[in-house]
Amino acid sequence: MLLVSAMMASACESPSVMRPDAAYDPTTLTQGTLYRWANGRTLLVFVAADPGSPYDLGLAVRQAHVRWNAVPQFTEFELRTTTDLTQADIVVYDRAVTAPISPGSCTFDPRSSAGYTYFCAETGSARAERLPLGLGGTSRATVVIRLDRGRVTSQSALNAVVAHEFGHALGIGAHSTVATDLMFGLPTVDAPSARDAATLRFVLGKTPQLSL
Amino acid sequence: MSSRRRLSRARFLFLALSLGGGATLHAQPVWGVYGEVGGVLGGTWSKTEGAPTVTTGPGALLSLGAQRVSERFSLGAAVRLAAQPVSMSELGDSWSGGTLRDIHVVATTAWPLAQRGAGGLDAEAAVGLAGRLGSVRGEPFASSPSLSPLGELGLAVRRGEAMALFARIGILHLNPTGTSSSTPGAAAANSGWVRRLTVGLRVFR
Repeated sequence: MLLVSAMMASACESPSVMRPDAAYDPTTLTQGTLYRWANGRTLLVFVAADPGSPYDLGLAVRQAHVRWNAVPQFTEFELRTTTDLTQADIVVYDRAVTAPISPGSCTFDPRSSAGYTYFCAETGSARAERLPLGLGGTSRATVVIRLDRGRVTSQSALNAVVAHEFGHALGIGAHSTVATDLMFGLPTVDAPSARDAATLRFVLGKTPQLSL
Repeated sequence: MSSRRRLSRARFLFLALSLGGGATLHAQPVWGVYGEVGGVLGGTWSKTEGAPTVTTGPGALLSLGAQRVSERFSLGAAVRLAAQPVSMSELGDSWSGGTLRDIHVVATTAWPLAQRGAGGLDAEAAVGLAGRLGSVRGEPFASSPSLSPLGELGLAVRRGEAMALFARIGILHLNPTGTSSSTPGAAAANSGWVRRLTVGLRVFR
């Protein structure tokens, strides 16, 4: 009984878990603007792949989902694929196909790069703009990832680029200076490192200046 | 109450204990089994500045137990299954953390506090281990050891020999230490005790 009483008395002390510090500044590409999705969201991802591509964009996206879905410390988000473009939060497309989403008030970078991630702030708002569908009409997508398969030479390279771009889409607006990080500018791995995970976990606990 | 009345009451209680055929009152020790169905009340499991508040909502409990009943006390063991929804809240957002499912294996004891006919009031205590079942992705469950010590105190109101209503408060120790070790800048994790209140119906056989 004494033991149980002592246990009851100490019950006031509940477990606590803190978020980690960021391993690198997550806002260097956004001029200090921290952005992320509202916590608790299931993020639906639409993929427009090029049927003629030797590499499987859908596979790369699904693998990126698995990698990043393991990162949230408190179930803050879950990436999931959708086949309904109008319901997608994030649209991934191969540059070889017609863009399913229009840039809205953004300007898509015309230069060629293996991967780009875009979103635009609404004018006078702390929210990202919902981008119009390429064939007209509205979508709920606020983030677009554009891949250029002509810039990759293997499936594993595509996997790395796609996973890297999802790091940007989730809230890491920066490139790491450590080559073994997924968020290094020229990624050679296809999974977030502990440093990448810590940085995103840090972001997920901060009030964003821009909500996606 | 006068001392004479207290004595009379005590004699009556002893008589009832001796004659009672209920779940916890037997002159000769006997074995019995019981099942429980109940509700687990929600509570806060983790509240830390710089991290979401982790709470559980009302859930359900099923239990099977066996006990050796004598006139002064009973001893036994029970296996319990509990499930509760987990929710997180932070910075104005709130979201689901999945479902916490756990199994308890406990040693139990009970002793009568009062007796009225075939019914009465028992005090109960239990100690044992709780283990999580399935996957709970969110901290503090995801990285804490899957086995946690627990202790419980409770009261049961016996209604005749076949059933009882019970309420018990349990405390369960969580030690969320796992994922932090692989994360630089490490998430500080401190262990602690969590309260859990359970109420329900017990049926004896």
